[in-house]
Amino acid sequence: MRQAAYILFGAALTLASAYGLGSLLLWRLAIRLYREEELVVRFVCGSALLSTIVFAICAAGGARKGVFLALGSLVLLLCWRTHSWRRSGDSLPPAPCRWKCLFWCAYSVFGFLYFSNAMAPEFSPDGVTYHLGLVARYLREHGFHRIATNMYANLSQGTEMLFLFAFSIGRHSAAALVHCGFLMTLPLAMWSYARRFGFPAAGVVGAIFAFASPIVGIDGISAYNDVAVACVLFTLFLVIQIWIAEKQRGLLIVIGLLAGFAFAIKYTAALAIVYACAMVLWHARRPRPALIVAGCAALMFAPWMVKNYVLAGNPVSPFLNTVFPNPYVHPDFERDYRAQMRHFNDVKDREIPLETTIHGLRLGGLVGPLFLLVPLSLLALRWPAGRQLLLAAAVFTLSYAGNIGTRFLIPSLPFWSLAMALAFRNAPAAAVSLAIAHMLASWPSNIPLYADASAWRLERIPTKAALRLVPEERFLLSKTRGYLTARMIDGVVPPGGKVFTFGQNVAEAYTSRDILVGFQSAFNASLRDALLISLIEDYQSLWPREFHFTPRPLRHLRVTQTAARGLESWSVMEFRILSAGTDIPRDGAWRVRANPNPWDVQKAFDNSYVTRWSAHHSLYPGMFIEVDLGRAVPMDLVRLECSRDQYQVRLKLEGAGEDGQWRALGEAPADGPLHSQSGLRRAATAELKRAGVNYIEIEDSDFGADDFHTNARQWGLKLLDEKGGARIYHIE
Amino acid sequence: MRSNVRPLILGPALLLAGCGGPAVWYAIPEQRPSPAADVAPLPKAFLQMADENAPAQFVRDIRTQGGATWRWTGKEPALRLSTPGTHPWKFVADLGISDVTFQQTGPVTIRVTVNGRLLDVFHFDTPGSRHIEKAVPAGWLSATSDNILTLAIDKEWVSPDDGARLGFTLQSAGFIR
Repeated sequence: MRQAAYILFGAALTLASAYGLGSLLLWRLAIRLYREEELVVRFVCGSALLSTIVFAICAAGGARKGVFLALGSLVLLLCWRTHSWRRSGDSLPPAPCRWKCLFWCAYSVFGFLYFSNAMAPEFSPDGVTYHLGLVARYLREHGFHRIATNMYANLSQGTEMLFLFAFSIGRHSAAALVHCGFLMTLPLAMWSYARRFGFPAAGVVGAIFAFASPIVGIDGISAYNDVAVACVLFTLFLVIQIWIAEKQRGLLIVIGLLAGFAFAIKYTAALAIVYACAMVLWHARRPRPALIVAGCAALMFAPWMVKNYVLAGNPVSPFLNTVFPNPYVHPDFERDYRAQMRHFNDVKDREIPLETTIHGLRLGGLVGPLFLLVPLSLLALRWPAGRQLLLAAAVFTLSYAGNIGTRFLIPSLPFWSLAMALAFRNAPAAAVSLAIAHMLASWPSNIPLYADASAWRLERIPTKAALRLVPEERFLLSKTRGYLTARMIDGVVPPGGKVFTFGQNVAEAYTSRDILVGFQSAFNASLRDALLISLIEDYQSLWPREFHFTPRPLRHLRVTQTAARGLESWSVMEFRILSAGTDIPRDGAWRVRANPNPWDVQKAFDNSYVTRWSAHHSLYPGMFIEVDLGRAVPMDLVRLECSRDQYQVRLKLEGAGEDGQWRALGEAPADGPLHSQSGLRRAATAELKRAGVNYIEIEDSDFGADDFHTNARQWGLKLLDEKGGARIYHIE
Repeated sequence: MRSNVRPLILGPALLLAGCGGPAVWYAIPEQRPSPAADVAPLPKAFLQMADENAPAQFVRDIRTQGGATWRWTGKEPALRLSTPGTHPWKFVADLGISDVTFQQTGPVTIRVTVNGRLLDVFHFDTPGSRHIEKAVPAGWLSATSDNILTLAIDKEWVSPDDGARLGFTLQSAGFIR
């Protein structure tokens, strides 16, 4: 129970601090709102401010529990001294009693379901891997440091800053409860909007549509950020509508902060800034108000871009890596990653409606069968509010094309929900029936009646786990294998140890060891490549390309790729220069360079057959590797040791002597002699060790798992522990 | 790896400084020593029965002893094969129906399955050596885990002397691009 108290205190102090900061801001700006709106706007706007303050604390290296306790206390003290926490506005026009009853019944029943699940030990897939894994790391390291091994550290992390505040006191569940705070705020925002603009009954129904949706529930109780985005976007919409109606100048600042905060939570919400500026520009008919909005928005999102530029060399890392080349995320990875997100689990476009509404397995959750009726929301076009809602719904659905996971529909869901409810404005009985049917269909025990049994969803009300009457460890072991692996790692890997894994299998939020997931950065990918080269013939140096030319002294050599297109990546394992059949030894006078991916060029000159320089870019003419030997050296052959996984690559060799005049050397390359591929396994693990990685975690389902197990000696591995289909090896 | 971020304030200035630029020069890195030999061979996509490492990829029903270039099979010989990459693959095999076994079994058929899915059925109305092949449909083979290739003969030859059972002779089998 003591643990439960810490969890509640951590979450409550975070939410109260956010509310307090919002109260101070609205008080300072003298903004007049209805009481119900004040509650929502203060919390959401204050969250934006608190998130930015926590960012500043992390940037200054001060992320500590004591600092957050002091910050929370200071905010609450200021609120008390200024009386800004008091709600001063009038109440919104009262809603009919039966509608009020329906709203509060749904709110309390689903609210209890959500609260108990959020308070139970956190085990969501992304929550325990990177959302809270990074939060835990920031707390351990007292702020931001360059993290070259996890691209998720480069995403904007507005909600993670709030999680960090709560996590420092109440750990994982406190963070999840903070997200749940946004979930509980969302229907209040929706109902407030509907009451202000004269359709309270439709507001109740629309709020229930969104609030009870299965994907909104499971996401909102997890340490994710999609529901937070939805709540911020709807509050932004609400404030814009109030500004359009009343033109209170102070609201422009709130609009800007909220729009920027949306982007600071999730890149995909960047459209909020465009939407906010466009709406304000359209209704103000002059640029100054829109500039105020843009400026305030920049205060929220610019810190993230600056951080990324400083630490990752790319303000919008892990995206746009061709515009901002950097050594941390490769362009070809980004291309493949985007394609994968656009065609998640190979779901075809025509399958999306049923996958997202009913099946729920392949796209990671379901919004509920009710949303098959979304086309009916067009009937709301009859009313001005309907047109505003549908415009926002359309704008915030645009980013879904980039990632078709169901949870990426959440930001636009409140708008579609309210528009659908508005469409039934003149048929209240039908609207209520739909709301009740939706609640029944969304209740955890009923979902398996029509959805896939393994769909991501809530399963029950875990009261005992929430109160820690069931030990956290026992609950987590029954829910996620990643937790067991994390415990194994903590048991056998010393503090400070680095563990390589092929997949995102370890609940990183529950271990203090550094987990390097194969796909999560360029650095990790090079380690994965070394291991896979040992296992996959196509990746091995079995395609030697030789340029023969008349013997001559040369100082400079350049191999250029000339093919105009191709998705594959040009790579070179070893760039060797020979004279009369003998390797010219590399010495300290040599210098090498390459473009693109200059940072890895040394891998083509390290005498290793498990490392390679790769362009990590689709083919284009002009890619090159160049060597300056420091002095003219007689030579007659250049041999590129390449792998066969590059069929479209075309190469030419040029050279220059001391005079610096470049000349073509030889014809197209010919096949050269093959060398032995023995010893690759040991060489691969030696590369990991050289990179400071001394441990490998292999799942039974990983490629080559049998080989690691059977040939552990050849890999130079010692099995340390083995449980639940996962093995931890030490590199000897 | 752990440089602090206090210079974040310099960020806006750096943003204005532009991106990219000419590739920089690097020195020659530490040279890796030549690796010692691995003992275990890599799993292959295509197996020659003459390969001394081939038995490591036998799943069942292939005699580990045979001729210089071929091995006797049982009723349902199976191989474990690795097919990395996403290229289109083709099943190929060189096998033989012995005169001796044919006299007892008469015409036989061999059902070829890939990971449990029937790829094709080949009929042998006469004894002798045959080359068989068939394109493998996309998605049947896994690039990330082992694939099981099975060649099941419908009738076995049973030795009248000791009851030993034989299927056919296999020279090579697997997947090629």
